[in-house]
Amino acid sequence: MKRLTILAVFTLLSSVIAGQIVAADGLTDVRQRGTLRHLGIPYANFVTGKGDGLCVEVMQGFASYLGVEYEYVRTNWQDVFGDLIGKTVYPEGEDVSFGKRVAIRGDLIANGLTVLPWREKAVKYSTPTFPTQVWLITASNSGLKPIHPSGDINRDIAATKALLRGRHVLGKAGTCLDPSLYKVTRAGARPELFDGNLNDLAPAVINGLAETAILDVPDALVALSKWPGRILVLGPISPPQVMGVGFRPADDRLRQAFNNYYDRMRKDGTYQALVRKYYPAVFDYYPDFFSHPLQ
Amino acid sequence: MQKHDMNLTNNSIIHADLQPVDPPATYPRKWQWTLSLSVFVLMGIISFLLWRNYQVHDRLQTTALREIGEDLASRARAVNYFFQERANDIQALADSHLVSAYFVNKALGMTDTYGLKGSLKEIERQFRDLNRSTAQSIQGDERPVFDRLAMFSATGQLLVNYQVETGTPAGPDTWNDIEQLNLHQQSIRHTNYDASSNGMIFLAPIRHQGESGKSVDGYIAGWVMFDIFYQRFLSSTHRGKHRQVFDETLIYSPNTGWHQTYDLDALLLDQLEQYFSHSGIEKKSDSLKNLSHLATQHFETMDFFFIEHPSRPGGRLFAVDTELDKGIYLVRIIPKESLVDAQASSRLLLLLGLIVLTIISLAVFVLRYGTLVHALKARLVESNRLQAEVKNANISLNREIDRRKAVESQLQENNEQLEDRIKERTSEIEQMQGQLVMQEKMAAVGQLAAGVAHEINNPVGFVNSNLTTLSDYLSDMSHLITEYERLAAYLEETTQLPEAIMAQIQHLEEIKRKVDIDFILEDLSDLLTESREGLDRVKNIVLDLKDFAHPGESRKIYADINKGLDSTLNVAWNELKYKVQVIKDYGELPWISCHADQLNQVFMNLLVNAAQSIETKGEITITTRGDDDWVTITIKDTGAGIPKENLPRLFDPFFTTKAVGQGTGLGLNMAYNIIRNHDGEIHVESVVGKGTTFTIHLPVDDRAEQKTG
Repeated sequence: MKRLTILAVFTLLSSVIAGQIVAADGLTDVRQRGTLRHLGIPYANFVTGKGDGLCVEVMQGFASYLGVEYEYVRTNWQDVFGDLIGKTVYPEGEDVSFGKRVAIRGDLIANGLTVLPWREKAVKYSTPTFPTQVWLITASNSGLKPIHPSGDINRDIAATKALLRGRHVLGKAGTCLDPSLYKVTRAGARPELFDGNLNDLAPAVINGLAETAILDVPDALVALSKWPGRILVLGPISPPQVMGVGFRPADDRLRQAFNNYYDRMRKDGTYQALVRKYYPAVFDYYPDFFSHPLQ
Repeated sequence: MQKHDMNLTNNSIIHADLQPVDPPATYPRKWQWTLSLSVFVLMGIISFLLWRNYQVHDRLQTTALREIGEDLASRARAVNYFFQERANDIQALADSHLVSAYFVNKALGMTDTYGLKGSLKEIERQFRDLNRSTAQSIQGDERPVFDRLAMFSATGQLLVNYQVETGTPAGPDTWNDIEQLNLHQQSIRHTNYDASSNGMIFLAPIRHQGESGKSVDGYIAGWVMFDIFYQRFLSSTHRGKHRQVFDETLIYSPNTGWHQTYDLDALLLDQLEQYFSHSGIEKKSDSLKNLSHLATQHFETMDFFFIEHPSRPGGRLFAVDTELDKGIYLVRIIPKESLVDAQASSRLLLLLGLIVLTIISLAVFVLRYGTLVHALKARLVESNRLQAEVKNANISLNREIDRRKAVESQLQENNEQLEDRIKERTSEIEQMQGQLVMQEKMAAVGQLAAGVAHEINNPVGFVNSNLTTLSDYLSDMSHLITEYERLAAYLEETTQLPEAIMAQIQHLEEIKRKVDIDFILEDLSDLLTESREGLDRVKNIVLDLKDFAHPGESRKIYADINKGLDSTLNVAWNELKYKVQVIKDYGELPWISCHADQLNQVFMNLLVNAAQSIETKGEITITTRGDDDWVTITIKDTGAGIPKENLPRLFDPFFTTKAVGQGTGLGLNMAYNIIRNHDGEIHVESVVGKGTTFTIHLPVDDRAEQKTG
């Protein structure tokens, strides 16, 4: 009798857990809801904040691919992961800690989200969708001289970091531009965290608020075109990185659906066309990323 | 006679047509003067028009040249403006922030690997945007103005290269001699870059304030193909408007040569090359020289000159715009004949001369042959008159023909009437002949009957007398025989007679038995009686024949109709006695004046017809009634009757329903005529299957005699 009771309780618990797992399937939720909620933050040309951007158009196509409506949910870098997984996330180096529960507001993050080790502990990434790198910039009149490319990225990174000794470097906590991610303090730099938006990093440098700042390549390209001759790219801070779309770890089916959709876009050239629209120079910097088949 | 008149009319028509025409009148001299004056006036007008044509032509030449010059100047201005716009485009690129930032950043040490590639990409995007915007600014043509835009470093290294997919130039990767262009003192220059490029290059230097001062860091170059010029300036719709005047416009660059829309022969090109090489070509003396001089005066920036070429008759007028001092010349080639149309006046003059000559020839011809025309007109009038006469004659002839047709129709009608009358008379004659034949026959019968009666009366008389005598003899012989028989019976009963006597007596008895003397005596009396009655009948028949025929009586007599009926019955009795029961219903009649024999013939016909209509047995009822004026005889039979459709034709001559050979068809017709001759009437009523009734009314008195009497 006792065995039977234990078996019944176990069966009941298994059913509840299985039901929760089923209920956590993002793809089913999206289809039942009829809406794909896109968590985004205005950043470079990924999300312009004007209703377009590379990630906006990709997600709009993905929603259409799923046969649901598209919904843009604006968030910020501090809350973006909590809005996705339902609890706050605190990066701790390459690790994270989770905080209080929060409401889930979106089904995925598509925002030029660089793949970082700590982020991978909070979310699961799609197939890499964009190449990137973090550069160190300064104002044209800062007196700093860009490095001479050596052909070795590590040497170039070292040379760039060498420029930071005793200098302030502006970054953004919780983002890919968090100075702590690149161990600039080891190079003698003085990291500063920016309270504003990522898009305002370059103007901050131009306006003399900081000697240097770190920008990822997409943002730097935008800044160079927006303020030509006003900023200088000194050199790389990081090796080449990739960006991707972030999903809840349990939303494998939704993530796989996106990967399938992304694969199709790559094959039919739709994605390249969108990239050329928003980041025409990226093909020159990272020709291999777009010419090679997906890994 | 009418036919003869018609022939006369036709002859007169023919005769009139052949009458000679009156000789034409003399042509009016006044008219000749008028015609001559008109010719001279016309020639004066033509001369005036010719003179005016020269004036207009001269003005047209001047106007055309002015128009050429203005058009060419306008085009030159448009080309200049276009050049300036493109130079501004290139210069704007060279002065753009992106370009200058690139060189500034480069000067600051920024490398392509980290940052400058993006700048170059942005510059390329700027090139694309420029081409897109300029293409949009040109109406109706989306082709980019620049086929290629490129940015070179100061050493000629290609930094940015944007080339339209459809563009023709193959851009060099380096431009080693670009510094030799020495563009430091100029903001823009166009030059050749490739012999086969067929275009122009706009170059603008890129300068920035570097540490070494304002120096040239690089160049922006833009390629514009010549066909862009043609599309926008040289082959405009303006050409169509002056298609009859202008030829083609060419563009010439000392470095790239000629660019044209059609081929010029080599000699003309050589001459033009000489012109542009300032070796000079002689402006040949020509009728256009003054015009060239005039046009040159009007357009200071242009040069007009004239070239004759053996293979191009008429030569060409070249209008060259020299305002384009950037090595570009606009040349308009105008064929002489299409521009000033120098031959137009001569052609017009020739045409007018031909017209005048034609008019004079016509006038001479008219004067020369005016009389003939007049004669022809007179002839025409005469012909018209003759035609009118012929027409009138034809009208008369037609009327005569109509009249004759009417007469002929009348004659035809008369003939037909005559034929009808002839037929009618013939019928009457035939009828009368028939009646005459019948009357003759009846007369012959009457005469015959009278003759027969006369001849028969004598033998009948003595036969009758003999029969009377014979009857007396017979009575005597009968008495004698009776006595003999009485004697014989006595002898046999009273005495014994000798055997011889007894034998004789027996012999007599034997004969008596043999001859049956008793029967003879009895029958002999009957025979005599019958013979006497037969004779009486013969005598009556002879009398009836005489009464029926009334031979020798040609005039009317008073006769008893009842007696005539009986006589006729007796004559016709042989036809009646076997199948007809005759019922007589005679009334008391007055004697009437008549041809008794004819009336008896009528009765005979009616009775015989009645008997013939009865197939087996029937009755014929004869009724007579009379008063003081009229006697009515009715003969009614119970025969087959007469069909209703035959009743109207019953009294027509020769109408018969009897078989051929049995009736002539004249019987009832003759009866009708006899009754009408007696001023009487005869009517018939008949019902098929029941019988026919003929009713005859005869006047008692002879009305003809009463009328005449």
